[in-house]
Amino acid sequence: MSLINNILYDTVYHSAPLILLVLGGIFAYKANVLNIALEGMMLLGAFSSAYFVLITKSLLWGIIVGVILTLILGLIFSYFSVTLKSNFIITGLGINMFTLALSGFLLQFFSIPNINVSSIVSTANLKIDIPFLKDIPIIAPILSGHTFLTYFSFVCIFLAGVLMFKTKFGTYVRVVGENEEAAKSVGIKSDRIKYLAVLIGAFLCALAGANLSVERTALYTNNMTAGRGFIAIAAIYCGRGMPVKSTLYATVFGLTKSLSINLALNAGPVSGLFETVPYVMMVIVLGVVSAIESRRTKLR
Amino acid sequence: MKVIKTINLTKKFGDFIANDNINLEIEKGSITAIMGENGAGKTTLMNMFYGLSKPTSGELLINGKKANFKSPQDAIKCGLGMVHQHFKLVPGLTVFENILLGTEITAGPFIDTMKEIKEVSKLITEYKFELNPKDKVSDISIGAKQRVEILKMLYRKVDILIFDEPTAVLTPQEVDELLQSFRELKKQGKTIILITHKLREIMEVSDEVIVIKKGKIVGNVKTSKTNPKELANMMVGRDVVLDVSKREKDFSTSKVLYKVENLKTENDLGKTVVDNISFEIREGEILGVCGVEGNGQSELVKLLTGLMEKTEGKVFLNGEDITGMWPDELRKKGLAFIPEDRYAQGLCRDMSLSDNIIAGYHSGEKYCSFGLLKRKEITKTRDELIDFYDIRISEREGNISSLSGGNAQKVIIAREFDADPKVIIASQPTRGVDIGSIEFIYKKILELREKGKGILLVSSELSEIMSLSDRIIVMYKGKIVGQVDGKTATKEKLGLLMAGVR
Repeated sequence: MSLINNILYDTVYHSAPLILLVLGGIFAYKANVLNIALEGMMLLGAFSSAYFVLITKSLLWGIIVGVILTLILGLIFSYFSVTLKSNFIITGLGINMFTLALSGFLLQFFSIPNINVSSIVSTANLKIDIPFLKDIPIIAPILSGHTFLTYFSFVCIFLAGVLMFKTKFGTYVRVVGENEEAAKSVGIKSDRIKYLAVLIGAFLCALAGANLSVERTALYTNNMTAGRGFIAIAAIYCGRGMPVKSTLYATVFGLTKSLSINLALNAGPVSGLFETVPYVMMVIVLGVVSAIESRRTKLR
Repeated sequence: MKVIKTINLTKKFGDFIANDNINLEIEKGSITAIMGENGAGKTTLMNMFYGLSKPTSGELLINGKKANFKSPQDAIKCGLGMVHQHFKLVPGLTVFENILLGTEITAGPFIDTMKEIKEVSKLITEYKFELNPKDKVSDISIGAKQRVEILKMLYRKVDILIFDEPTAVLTPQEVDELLQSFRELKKQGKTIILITHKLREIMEVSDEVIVIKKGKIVGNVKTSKTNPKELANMMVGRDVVLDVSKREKDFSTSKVLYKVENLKTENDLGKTVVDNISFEIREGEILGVCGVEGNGQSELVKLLTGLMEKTEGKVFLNGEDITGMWPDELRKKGLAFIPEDRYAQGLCRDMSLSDNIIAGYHSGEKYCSFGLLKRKEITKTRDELIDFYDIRISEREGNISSLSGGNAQKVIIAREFDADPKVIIASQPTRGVDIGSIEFIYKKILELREKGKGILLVSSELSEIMSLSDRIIVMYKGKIVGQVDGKTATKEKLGLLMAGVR
């Protein structure tokens, strides 16, 4: 029983940053600028929020500075790929490599193996029990007792859906992605829309990073995002950029992550192998989803 | 009152003069047709009207005021709107969302969907259009898409509407509906400028005709005081004969060249779109395929040209089974294709004219040895074909994208006919092509017929099908619903079959 409970609790726990990444990526995806730099943006968010928590001695200020820095990275990405019209895959790849190298270099430079902020941030105190919910048996240990950003990520699913489908901005994002000529012909400033779509992504990536480092473990370790940005891209592809569908795939990956961790505890010497499960799962899910979609196509 | 007046309007692209001292006046509430061959400068002129490009010199007066448009938005604000040949619509959005795109009605931060639908419904009834505002644009017909484009302009309170070759992509029925809409718009006081080279439409709806040739106005007449023959002569500079006269033939003893047996396929949704199609083409025969667009003709052509897979059936060329072969294999066997959508399947826009003119035949011995392209040979072929097929291009080394639609079509025709195929599958070979070129293409097709080639002609132009075909099959909902002899076919007979009445 407790194993199943742990698995489900961890599913929510591991899904949260993925959901933030997915929601951050769908706007750019829909606007036809695939943001492959989700990984790098998240890494910068994780690193800089941890570092600035250490500097400012404040959780909130650390996260705020982390968000601002990641937004600047988002601006750099959009300046290159939208304004200068460089290839956004290459630009994104560059950003991923740059952030990984920069954070690794700075750790070396400060001569620390990781950034430990546990003296400033108490992770136990950040867990919030939700009134009423915490008293319901079975569900309580799964859904209650998470951090603020974890809850926020689930609220964001709803917010992103409304923004995408009920507002002018969301409509324009979809229009720019589907037919940019049409958007321009009615005077929609498509470049501005793309910038905003990328910046929403940068904002949510920063939060995902902060959730991963300071909020959950009060610790930043080198390259701790470990490919989550790419898993999010897989989820976005499977869900075709639809907010609910894409986040569902994100939770599937959250579940496999949780499974791999919980099962590895009892696996003895092969436990290391379990860490590959989410990534193997990503390849399988992507393959299956696209096979189903093209099953009926007779066009060559 | 004159709504549009130009004084010595000139547009140059480098040394090339696209529009040369254009002086014209357009009366309010009239329908003016601007006609000219492909590349004569019609579109350039309209682009200046619509703010898409700036004149090199000269003046444009809208409602007596000097206009200096920096963008189409300026033109729209001034009451001048354009319906492009290639629609600027968003397929994933609904009709009403497309019409109100950029001018959404909001309530607080949200879009007021209910109010938007109401507004658009009002507009649709006001202009007597047939449209459902809640339909998704990807699901509606081409004619309906065009109506969405028109409404997009009308919603923005536009008084002058420019139509760039509006009937090029429409079926005969849709053309009639559009002409009816023109009359309705005129009744409501709108001014219409119609860019076209189709004489029938000009004669039917326009009040005045302006003929442009090589960037200059060569004729400006009242429609009531002219006739199609005179207009064609003005446009091309000589008499044009579109009445095709072909030698009578008896095919009963001719060899069967191409044979299709019980061909079937389905679309992504699992619906059968080509249903048990069988026919044969004999040497020197032209088999016409007609039907209302969307009744399986496109899919049939895709099947026969190796772009789609069949579920059942067989295809034979000279008795050899060629079912399921890829386009390059089919070409090697002696088939040639003129695809329906020239940019999607026929040409590569971002590649040069020479690359396009050998595309599909590039691995043959003529252009390739040991895996390397023979540039000299290719350039020679390109220059020969440009001259022989009269392809108008400002820069021979340039990209296909710099060619006008009709000239791009000529590139495909030149490439496919030059390959000396046994069988040609031609889909909409004259779509969007001017009358002089149509005459030329017809002549070429008939020449191939004389040489004993087999030709499958798929077209939505009934007159084209009727004048060229030896036999005509009519498709309805993926099936062949009737076969008519080319000599005895009438518009009425085909029209009934196309509607599914046997």
